[in-house]
Amino acid sequence: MFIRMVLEALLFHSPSTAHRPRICRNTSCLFALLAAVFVSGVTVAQEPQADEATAQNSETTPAIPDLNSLVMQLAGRDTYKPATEALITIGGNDVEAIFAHIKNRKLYLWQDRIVYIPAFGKTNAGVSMGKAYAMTTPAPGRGQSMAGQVIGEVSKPDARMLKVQRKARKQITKAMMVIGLHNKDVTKRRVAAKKVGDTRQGAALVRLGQMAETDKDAKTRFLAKESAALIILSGNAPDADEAERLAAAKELGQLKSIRAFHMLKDLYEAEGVSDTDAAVYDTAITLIERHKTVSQWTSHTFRGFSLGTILVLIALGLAITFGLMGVINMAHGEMLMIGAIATWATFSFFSGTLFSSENWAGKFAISLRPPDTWFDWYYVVALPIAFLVSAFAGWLTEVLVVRWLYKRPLDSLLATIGVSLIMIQGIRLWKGDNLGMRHPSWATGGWEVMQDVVLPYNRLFLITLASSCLLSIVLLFRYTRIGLLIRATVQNREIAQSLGVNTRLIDMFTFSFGAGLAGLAGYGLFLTSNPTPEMGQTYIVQAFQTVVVGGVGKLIGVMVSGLGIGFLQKFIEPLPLMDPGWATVVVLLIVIGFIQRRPAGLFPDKGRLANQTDGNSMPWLATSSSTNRRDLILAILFVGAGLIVIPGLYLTGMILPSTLNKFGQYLAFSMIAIGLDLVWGYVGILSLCQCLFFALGGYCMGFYLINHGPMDEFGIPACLAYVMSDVADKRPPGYLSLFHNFPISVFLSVLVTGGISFIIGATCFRSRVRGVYFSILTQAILVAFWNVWVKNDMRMGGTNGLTFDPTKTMLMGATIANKPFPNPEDFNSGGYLAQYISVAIGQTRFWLYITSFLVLATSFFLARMLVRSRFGRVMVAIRDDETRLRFIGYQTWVYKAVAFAIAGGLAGIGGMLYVPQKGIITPKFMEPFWSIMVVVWVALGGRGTLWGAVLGTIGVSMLYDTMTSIAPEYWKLVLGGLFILVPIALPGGIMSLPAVAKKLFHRPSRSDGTDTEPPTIATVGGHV
Amino acid sequence: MTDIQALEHDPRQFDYINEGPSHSQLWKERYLLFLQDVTAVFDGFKALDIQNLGIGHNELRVIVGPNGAGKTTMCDIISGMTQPTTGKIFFDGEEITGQNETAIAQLGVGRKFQVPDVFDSLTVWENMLLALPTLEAARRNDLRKTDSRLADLGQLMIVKAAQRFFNAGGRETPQAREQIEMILKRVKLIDERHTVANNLSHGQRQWLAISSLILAKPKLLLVDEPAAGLTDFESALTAELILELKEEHTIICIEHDMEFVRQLGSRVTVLNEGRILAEDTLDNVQANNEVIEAYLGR
Repeated sequence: MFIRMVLEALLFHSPSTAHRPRICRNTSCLFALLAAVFVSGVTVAQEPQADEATAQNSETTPAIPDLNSLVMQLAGRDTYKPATEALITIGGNDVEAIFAHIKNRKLYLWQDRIVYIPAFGKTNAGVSMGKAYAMTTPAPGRGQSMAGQVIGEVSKPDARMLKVQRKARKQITKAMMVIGLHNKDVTKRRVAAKKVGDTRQGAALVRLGQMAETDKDAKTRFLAKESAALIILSGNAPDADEAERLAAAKELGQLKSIRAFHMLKDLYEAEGVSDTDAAVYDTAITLIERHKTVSQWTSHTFRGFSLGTILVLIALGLAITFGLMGVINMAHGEMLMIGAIATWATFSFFSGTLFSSENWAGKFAISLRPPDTWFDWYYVVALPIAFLVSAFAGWLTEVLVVRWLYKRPLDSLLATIGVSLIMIQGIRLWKGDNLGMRHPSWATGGWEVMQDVVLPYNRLFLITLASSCLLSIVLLFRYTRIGLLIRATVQNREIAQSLGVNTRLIDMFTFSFGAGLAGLAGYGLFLTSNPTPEMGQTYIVQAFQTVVVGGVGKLIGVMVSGLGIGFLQKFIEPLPLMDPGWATVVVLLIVIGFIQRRPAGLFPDKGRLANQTDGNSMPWLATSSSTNRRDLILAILFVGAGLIVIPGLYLTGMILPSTLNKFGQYLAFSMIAIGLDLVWGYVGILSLCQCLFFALGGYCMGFYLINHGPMDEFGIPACLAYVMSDVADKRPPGYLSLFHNFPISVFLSVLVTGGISFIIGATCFRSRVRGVYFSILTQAILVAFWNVWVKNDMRMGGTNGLTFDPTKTMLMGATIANKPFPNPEDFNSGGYLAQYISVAIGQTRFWLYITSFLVLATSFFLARMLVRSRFGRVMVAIRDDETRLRFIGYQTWVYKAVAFAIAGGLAGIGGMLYVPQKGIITPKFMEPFWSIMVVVWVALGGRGTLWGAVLGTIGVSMLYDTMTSIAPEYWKLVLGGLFILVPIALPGGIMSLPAVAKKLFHRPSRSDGTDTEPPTIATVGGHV
Repeated sequence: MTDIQALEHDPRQFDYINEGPSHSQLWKERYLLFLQDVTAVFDGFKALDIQNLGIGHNELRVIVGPNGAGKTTMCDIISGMTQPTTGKIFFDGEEITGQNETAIAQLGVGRKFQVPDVFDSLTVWENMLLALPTLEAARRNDLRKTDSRLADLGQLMIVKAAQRFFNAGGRETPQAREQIEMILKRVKLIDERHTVANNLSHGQRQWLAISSLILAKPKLLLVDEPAAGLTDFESALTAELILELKEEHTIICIEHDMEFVRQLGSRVTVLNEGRILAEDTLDNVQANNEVIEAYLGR
C-alpha cells in the first residue's frame, strides 16, 4: 500500500492541485513512509544468526588418564612436541580450552590434577584463594563434560602454575588453530581455517582437505581450499612435488586469493625460476590483481557512498535554513550531536543506567528500565526520539535566537556559534566527554557481497536512513500542503503573509525540521562512531563545503555535491602518501579550485538572497565631526592608561609582572582585531581565519627564539628534541637557518603572513567568491592548515608546539624570564622602592609590554589614516555596493586582497608580540574557535570603528581570564550567551552605546541629519 | 559621407535586415551600438530574442514593454553582466560580446540601475570623487591629453600600476573639482555635497546616481527607470536633464511612465516577450494594434 502511494506520488508531476493525490496531503503519511522504509531496512540488515549453537560440546576420549599425563608432559623440554601432537590428535573443545588456559597462564597443577583457576582473591584472613575447575579428570559419578566442573577452593601456595617454555608456547598456539578446525561453531572454524593457512601448518593439511569437500558452510570450504593451496605452495607440505605446487599456484589464481599474492610474486621474481613455472605464476598473479582492483574499487565506492549520503543528510538541513531563510546555522553540527546523545540516552535507559539510583544520587530506590530482552529495540525506539529531541532543540534556537536574525547571514553566523558553544558545554557538564555505549547486536558484522568485499551493516543502515530521509524531504516539499506553504514563504514572504499564511509558524517548522534531519544523521552516526559533545564540529566544516559547492537553495545541488565530495574523499584517502588528514586538505583544494570556476556553486541560486550584501548597514557609525572629538578623547585615555597608569602601577609594585604580562598579551591580540575590523568593518568581508596568520607570525618568532635558545651538541634546539628523536636525519629543519637575525625574522614573518593572506584573498576574490561563501571557505582553509601543521613530519612540534625555556632563551640579548625581585625584608623602607623600580624596569617583560603598546598604537594610527584616505573610501564603497564600483571601472578584487593582506600582516605581527610574552606557541591557535573569538571581540566592541576592536579585545579577554579562574566550566556558557546577545540586542557593540543611549533618552531625536547619527535603517527583524 | 546622408533620408531607415557588419565603416559611423541575433536563454526560458537592434550616435532611445519583456535583461547583456547565449554585440565599431562588466564600463558604457546605486556611507562629494574615471576609462573616452613625452613611458605596466594607485579612490585635482561642481549645480545637489548619501531623498539619490554616471563621460548611457518614484516636478526636471545629456552622450532609457516618455520626445522601441514588437515614435507606437494587444492582453 505504501508502495502504491509512493508510485502515485512520483508519477504525478504537475503541481496543479487538481492532480495532486489526496493521500499525500497529510504529512503524517510521510512519517509512516519513513517508518516503513526504516523497518524494512532493519530486517534486511539482520545478519542471519550463527547457524549452530555455541554450546559447549565435548568429545569423549577413551584415554582419560593419558590426558593428564600428556598435559604434564607439555612442560618438559623434550616431551612437549610429541605431547602436543598427541593432544592434537585427541582434539576436542576440552583440549582447546586447556591450550588456551596454558597460554593465559591460568592452568595449575594441584594435587596431581590439572585445574584451571581464573583468578585469586583475598579472603578475610588474608589468604589468596581461587576457584578451581577440573580440566582433565571428571568428578566421580559424572560421565560427560569435564571442563567447568568446580572442584573446590584452592589456596595459592598449594597450586603450582604449569609453566611451558616459549617454544612449547608457539607450538601450542599453532595446535590451537589445528584443533579449531574441528570446532562445531562455524565462526571458529573459519577463523581456524584461515589462521592455519597463514601460519603454513602442514599438519593441518589432511583435515583441510576434508573440510574443503565436506564442510556445510561455503566460506569455510573456500578458506580451507585456499589455506591448503597456500600450505602446499609454501613447501610446508611434506609430500608435495613440483607439479602439485604448480597446481596449487594455479588454484590460488582461480580462487583469486589475495593472501597468496605476495608469495606468488616472490616466487615469480625469484632467481632461476623456469619459464613454464613463471607463466603459471604470472597468470595467477594477473587474476588476483584484477580481483584486487575490482574489490578495492567496490569498497571505495561503497565507502564514498556512505560518507556522501551522510554529508548530504547533514548538508540538507543547512541548505534548507540558508537557502530558504537566509540564516547560517553554525549550530547545525550540534543538532546532529543532540540526536546522537538522545540515542545514547535511550541506550542508557534501556541498559538501566539512565535512571538508576547511582546516577540520581540515591533518589530512586529502584532502577527504571525495560526488560533485558528488549535491549536491541532501543535503536528503533531511539529514531523518533532523536528526531523529536533535535527538532525541539531547533525550535528553541529558532524562537529564542534565530527569529531576530532573518536575512542577516553574518549576524546569524555569530549568534548560532554561541548556541553551539552553549550546547556543547551543556552536554559536557551533564555527562562529560566519554559516553560508553554498546551497539545493537545486528549492527555488527557485514554483508559479504562478493569475495573480499564486506559491506558493514551499520553503513548499509546509514545509507538506507539517509536515502529515506531524502526521499521524504522531496515528497514533503513537492506534494504536501506544508511544502507548498514553505516554498511560498521563501519566494515572497510578504505576499504569503497577505494571503493568510502564518509565516512565523512556517519558519519554526522549517527550522525544526532541518534540525530534526541533523538529529537523524547523528542517530545514524551513533552506529559508526562514538558520541561525544564535540562530534558535531567534525562534520560541520565538510557539510558547509557541500552546501557551498552545491549551490545554496537547490536541493539537487546539495545531493550531487555531497555525494561528490564523499566519493572524492574516499577515493583520495587510499592513494599513496595520503592519510585522512592530507585527504581533507586535497579535497579542500579541489573545492577551492571548483569555486573559482563556479563561484555560486553547481546549481547557482539566482535569487536575491544569494546576492545580498547584508549586515553592512551600520547605523551606529557617527559622522566625522563627532568622530574626531571622540577619537581624541579615547586616544588620550588609552595612552594615559597604557603608558602611564599601568606601568606606574607596575613599577610601584601594585600589579605583578604576571598581570603586566597579561596586558601585553591582550595588546598583541588587539592587533588581530584591528586587522579584522579593517576587512570586516570597513570592507565587509568576514574572515574566519585571522588567527591562522597570528599563529604563523608566532611560529616565525618561535623559530627565531629557537635559534637563540638552548641547543644540544648536535645543534638541535631543545624545544625540538623530542620531535627529532624518531627522525633518522638529525639536523634541524632547513628553514630554521633563515631566522637568525632579528630584523630579517620580522621581515620574513610579515612577508609570509601578508603573502599567504594576499594569495588567499586574490584567489578567492578574483573569482567573485563573496559574503558568506568566503567566510565558510576561510574556515575550511584554517582547518586544512591545522591538519597539515600538526603532523610530525613538519617537525614543528606537532600538537605540542614549541615551548621556550624562559631562562635560557634570548630575545635581542636579554632572556625572557623574570629576574628575581628584591625581598621586602632585605631592605629598609626608604631605599626599597628605588631598588624595586630599578629591578622592575630591567625586566624583559616590562619592555615587551611597552613594545607591544607602541606597536599597537602605531598600527592603530596607521589604520586610522588608511581608512580616512582614498583607499579607505574605496574600501567603504566596496562594502556598500561592490557591483557599482566595478561598473565604474575599479578592479575591486585587488583592493579586497590588499586589505586582506594588511589584516594578515597585522595578525602576524600580533603573533610575534605574543610569543615571547607567553613563552609557547602551539597549533591551538589554528583551531576555528580562536578565529571566531576575534570576531566576537570586534563585534562586541563595535565594528567599523577601530576603537571597538581594541576595547572589545581587552574587555572580553579580561572577562575570559577572570571567568576561567573562577568558574571555568561555565565560561563557555557565558561566552555563548555573549555571542547570541550581541548581534541581536547590540549589533553596534560597545561603541554604539552612547548612540543607543542618546536615542533612548532623547526622544524625539534631532533631525538636522548632519550632527547626530543617521536615522536607523529598518532591518527585516524590526530591530536597531 | 553621401551614403550616410542618403540613409538619413531613407524611409526604410529602420529596416536593418539588409544592413549589418559587412558595411563596416559605414555602419560604424551609423551606429554606436548594434545587437545582432542576440538571444538569452535561462534554464530553457528564452528571455531575449533580438534579430537586429541599432542605436545611432547621440540618439536617445526609449525602451518600453510590459513586465517580463526582457528590458532589464537587454541592459544586462549590453553592460556585460550577463553573457548572451548566441549573437554578437558591437559597440563603437568593435565587437564586445563576451567581455565582463568592468571591461565594458571602461570602454565607455555607463549604467544606472533601477534602484539608485549610491554608496550609502559616503557623502555626495565622496560619491562623485569615486565616480571619477579610472585612467583607462579616461583614456578611452579621450578625456586626458597625455603628454607626448610621457606617452611611451605610460605604456609600461609598472607605470600604469603606479598611475592607477596614484589616482585610486578619486584624486581631487582642480579640474576634477570643477567638473564635479558643475554637475552638482546642474542636478541641484551642490548644497548637499557633504551630506551622507543615506540621508538624501529618493529623488536626490536618483540624481546623484545619474550624476556619478556622467562624470566619466561615457559614450553610452543605460538609464533604467530614471523616473521611478519621482514626483511630477522631479520627473520634469529629470526629463530636462536627459535631454541636455543627449547633446554629448547616446542614451538608452527604459521607462514605464508614458508621460515621461512623451516629455522625452524620442523614438520608442517596444519589447514583448523578448522580441521587438515595434519601433517608431510614441504616437505611432501607441496606435499600433499589436502593441495594444500585448499591453492590454486579449
